[in-house]
Amino acid sequence: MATSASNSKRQKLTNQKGVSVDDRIGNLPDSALLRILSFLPTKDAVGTGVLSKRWEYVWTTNFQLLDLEDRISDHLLITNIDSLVEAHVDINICCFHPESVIKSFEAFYNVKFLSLSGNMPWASSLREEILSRKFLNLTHLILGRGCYVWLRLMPYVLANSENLEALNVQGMPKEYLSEQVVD
Amino acid sequence: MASKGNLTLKSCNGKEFIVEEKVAVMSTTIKNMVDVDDSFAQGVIPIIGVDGKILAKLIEYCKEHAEADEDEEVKSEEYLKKFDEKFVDELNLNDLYDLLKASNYLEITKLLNLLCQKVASMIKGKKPEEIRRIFNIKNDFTPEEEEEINRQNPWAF
Repeated sequence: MATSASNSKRQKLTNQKGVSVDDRIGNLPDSALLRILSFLPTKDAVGTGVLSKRWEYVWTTNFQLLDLEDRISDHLLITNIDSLVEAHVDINICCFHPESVIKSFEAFYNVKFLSLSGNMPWASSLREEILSRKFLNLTHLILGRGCYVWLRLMPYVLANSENLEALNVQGMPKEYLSEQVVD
Repeated sequence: MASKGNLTLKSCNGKEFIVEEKVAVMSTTIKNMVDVDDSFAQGVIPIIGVDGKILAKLIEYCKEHAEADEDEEVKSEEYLKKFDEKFVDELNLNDLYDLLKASNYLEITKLLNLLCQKVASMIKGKKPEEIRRIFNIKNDFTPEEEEEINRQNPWAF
């Protein structure tokens, strides 16, 4: 393993973001870090979230979805997300806010990486649609806290996701899991 | 003052470079300055926050690519690919950051992509500990925070 010579440098000075001045890469603007991530496979890109606080949330912000959480109630923006996700299937990171409303799931059938969180009661209305469609590219699926509706849909999503490699379910009571997810 | 068709770029430490306009406008930032304000095309364009060494590197890169864009026969795609490879391989880590920051600010997209790709190749397939060591990133999570993150992040092994 290569040890970096810069390792011996002082790490005491920090800038206003709390990033050490010796941490040159951490001092690059977000847009540059995002561009770096765009050249990484999803697994490596997501993995950068554990490096430091500076990196924790960089991967969750797709180029186009930077302000998503702030403007989530804006219905127009939400309609746009569908087309954005479709245009960026190579970036493959989409994060759902609990309050977001997606009328059609169309764009997401092409996505490789899907991260959902929040209850999103509206999702139950997509049941018929999801039943009949295949998630051909989906390889990684994360269900965040409170995704109860999605949990109920999971058997159908899984049955229609031939290429799924990883499913991660977070913050669900155990009994809920065993009851709702078959196979 | 630069002659017609040339622009003068001035680094933050006062070094001046006279370059052909087609080379300088590989930078979208410079192109916008020249397009909007004709006086830039006549006088000196200050390149804020970029020192002479890095500016020379940027110009070297832009020159090769601007010439290639103009005449594909003189500089083939293969030649450019080799040039790009050599260009990034010869950079030390500090120069890599400085160039990345400068090309981000000056919006030299081709170079920016090349440099980001280089950094990505240094991250790809490596464990967090290795990545931190290579880039001198300080792990500033508390043990509790780290445990929580590892639990949430399915690919952080």
